[in-house]
Amino acid sequence: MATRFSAPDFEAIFDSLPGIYLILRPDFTMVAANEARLKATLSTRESTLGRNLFDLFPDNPDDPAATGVANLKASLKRVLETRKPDTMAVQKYDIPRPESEGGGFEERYWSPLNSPVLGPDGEVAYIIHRVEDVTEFVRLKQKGAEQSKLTEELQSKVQKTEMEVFQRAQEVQEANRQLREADRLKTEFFANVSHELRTPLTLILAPAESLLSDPALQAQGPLWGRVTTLHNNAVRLLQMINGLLDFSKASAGKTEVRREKVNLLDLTRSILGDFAGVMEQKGIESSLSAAASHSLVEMDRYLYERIFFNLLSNAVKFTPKGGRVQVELKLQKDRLSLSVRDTGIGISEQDQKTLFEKFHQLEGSSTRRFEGTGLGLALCKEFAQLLGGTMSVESRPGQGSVFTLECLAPSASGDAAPAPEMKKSLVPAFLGQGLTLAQAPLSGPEDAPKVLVAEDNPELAVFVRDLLSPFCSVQTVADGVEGLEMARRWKPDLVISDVMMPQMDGIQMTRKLKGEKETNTIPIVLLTAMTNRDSLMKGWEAGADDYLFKPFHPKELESRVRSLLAARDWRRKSEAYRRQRDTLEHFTHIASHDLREPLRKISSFIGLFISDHPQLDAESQQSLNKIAEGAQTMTRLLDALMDYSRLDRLEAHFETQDLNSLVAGVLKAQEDPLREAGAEVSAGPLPELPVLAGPLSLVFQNLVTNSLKYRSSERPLRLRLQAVQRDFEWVFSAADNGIGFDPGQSERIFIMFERLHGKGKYPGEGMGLAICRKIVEKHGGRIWAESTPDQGATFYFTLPVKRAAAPSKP
Amino acid sequence: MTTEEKLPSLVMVDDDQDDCFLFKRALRENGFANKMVFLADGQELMDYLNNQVKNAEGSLESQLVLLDLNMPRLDGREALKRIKSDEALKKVPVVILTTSKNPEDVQSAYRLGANSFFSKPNDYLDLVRLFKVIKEYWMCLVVLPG
Repeated sequence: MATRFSAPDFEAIFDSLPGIYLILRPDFTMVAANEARLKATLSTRESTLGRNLFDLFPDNPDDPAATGVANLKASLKRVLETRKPDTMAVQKYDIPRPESEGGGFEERYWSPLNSPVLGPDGEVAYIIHRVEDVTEFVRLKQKGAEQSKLTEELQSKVQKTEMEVFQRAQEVQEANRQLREADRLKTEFFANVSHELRTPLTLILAPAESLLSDPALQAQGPLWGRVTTLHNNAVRLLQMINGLLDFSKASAGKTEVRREKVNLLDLTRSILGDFAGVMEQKGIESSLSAAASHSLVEMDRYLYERIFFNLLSNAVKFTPKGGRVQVELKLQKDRLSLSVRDTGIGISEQDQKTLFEKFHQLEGSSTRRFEGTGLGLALCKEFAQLLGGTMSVESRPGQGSVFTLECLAPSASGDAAPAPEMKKSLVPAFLGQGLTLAQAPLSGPEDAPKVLVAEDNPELAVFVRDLLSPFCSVQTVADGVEGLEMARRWKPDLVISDVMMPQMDGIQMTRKLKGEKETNTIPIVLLTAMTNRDSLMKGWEAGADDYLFKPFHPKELESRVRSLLAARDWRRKSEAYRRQRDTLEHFTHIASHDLREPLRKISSFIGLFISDHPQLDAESQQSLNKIAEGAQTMTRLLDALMDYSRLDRLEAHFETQDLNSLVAGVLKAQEDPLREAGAEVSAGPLPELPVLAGPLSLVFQNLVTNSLKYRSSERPLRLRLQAVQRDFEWVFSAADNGIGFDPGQSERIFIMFERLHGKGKYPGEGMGLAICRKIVEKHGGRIWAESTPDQGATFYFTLPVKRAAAPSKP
Repeated sequence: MTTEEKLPSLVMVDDDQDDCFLFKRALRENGFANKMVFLADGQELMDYLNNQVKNAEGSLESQLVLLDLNMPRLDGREALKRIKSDEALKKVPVVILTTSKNPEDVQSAYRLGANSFFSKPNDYLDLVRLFKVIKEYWMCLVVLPG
């Protein structure tokens, strides 16, 4: 056959094909490769042709996940079997690098297509292995993925801090709620205590007054005197209880100033007159000197009385027999000055500083408890402030003290002075109330949190300042020395500091701030480069609270700042809450302790009175009995209050106890009343547990007493005490068949002074179950009650099987 | 000093005039005829005891001190501490009689060397009974140093 044109140079054409081609025999020997192929695989024709594909291109031994060889073999075998082209997915198939170029493997991604070339016998003669190098594309894609992963991470970081901020804000709100609740409880508690104490007190005062007005009694000198003493003590008690109420009102911000025209000289004289008896008894001389151009002023009579009364009580109390109390009243223009000077024991300089603080009582050998409650001077100060004035003290130990009230007292003939503003609640309004993440500032502009930024780069400093100034008050400094100085002076709520700064770096500054008492609670955020591990470690060691890696997202900075400010606020709140609770317990203890004294007098004098006069008329007898009853009720109430407050200071000394014998002891003590009630009591079997034996006995005792008290009049009392183990706790129950209670009230009965039934029918202090609850909670348990009215009540409480802190039995 | 046996005296230290009155009455009701001394605070007590030591060349009367805890000037705790750490005075028995029932007060009083601790009773009859016990036990049965 003649050829009209010469055959093209197939080799040259093949060589120049733009794609990457390799031709294989069925045994995978490489027989041809085009230029592009050689270039892409970093190989030469000499090293390639005649060799087995897989000998020359093995899997990358450094890549344990390499599947290139296996996948390619499988694809080629499929081509041999099916004689059809086979497309492979993108493969990672690393290429060995020539020794001259450093050896090793180069990462490559390929998109291969294998097609058969059939011989005349129909069998596969060659395989065309065509690939596309997609390495660049894959790398780009990977980079993109990495980028978006980074963005995602940042986003989730921001989200996380935002969650944190939200959580902290919730916590702050919770702490704030607790604080408000504690405050409300305290106020309510005082009001309750005062009310509870007042009721029996009227039982004492009224008959005592009726005895006092009995002319027949007045005729009997010494007897009359005794009733007077009794009456005086009852009045003293009333004063103390009024003091309690004053305090609860003042702390709830409910005290109002009501100024009216008052003749201050007369008022002062009459109050001093009230003390004449006591002073005479103690042999104390008193005098009143007045320097006044007028005596009619606009004054809150009540507040003035309370202040003067407290000052006089103190003076009398602390002045020994034969001493002197001098009162000086000055009225000048629109101000008054009232001073009470005594020749008493005096007060040390150190004690003078804390004298006007609430509940402060001078502890020490030469002093004794303040009248009543340790509130007297604190109230004076508070009331003085309400009157637009101050309280001050001058004193020398052993020589005496002068207490001075100075306040506004507009002369009544002049224009009425504007009443001072009512005192707000002791609890400051929550800084971040209603904090929502991005928009709302943390607080109003005037009490915005203070943030100190220490950054030597002025642009960055301004950037941070602008970012934070919408919700913070920001100060910037350029180095650590200035930062330290400013932090000490300005007391910021948060410090943001660069690490690298001239003069003193951020780490040194952090260490200094964390080492000083005044500044060590200020949270510090360090700005640092991610890569600087060293400064990171040093910063932690120095006590930095948080890090922000440069460059940071503005939002990240913002949420970090908010989060730290919220956390700080929360810590402060919970501390305040704890303090308030402690104060309350402390107060309860002191109040119940000191109120006992006048009560003891009342009881004693009644007894003396009765023993002196066995032949009293029926009416007087009845009056005296009423007084005695009132005093007894109050004593019981105070004892219960004291038990209650003592529980908090109880040393948690848990001992493993057989509760069967503990309960047996309790039942034994109640034997008589139980027998009288015809009660049928069954107990146990009960476990052996680590408990506070004394207090826990009180729980059982109160539950038994309760069942006795609220038993039905229609059937004999049946009481069953039991315990069952449930997981990690024992559930105890005391079930009776008494009158029960309204199940809707099952929470209320554990609250102090709450009574569901009339006091007349069922006597009691209303504290038994409150005490039970406190004891059970002290054990780490819970207490609750269920009831069907008229059928019975069941009280449940739990005790943990093991105490975490207690040594376990071998 | 005569060879004749002298009845021990009772030294009551309390700043509360009402209480002193009640104590006196309760003692009278028990037919108490010994010498009674009423002092208003710890300082008066220290002066009283130190005077005895000075005037009788170191010897002390046979006596029992009934001491309140909360008093002005020198309170009962401090007075107790001073008595019990003074070589010349430490043998004087001191009985605490106070309003407090506080366990901490009880603990600290005994730690400081108190010989007994009573809480002032609420009821007058109980007070009479308490002084009966004090009289019979401390003033009759117990042999007091003197």
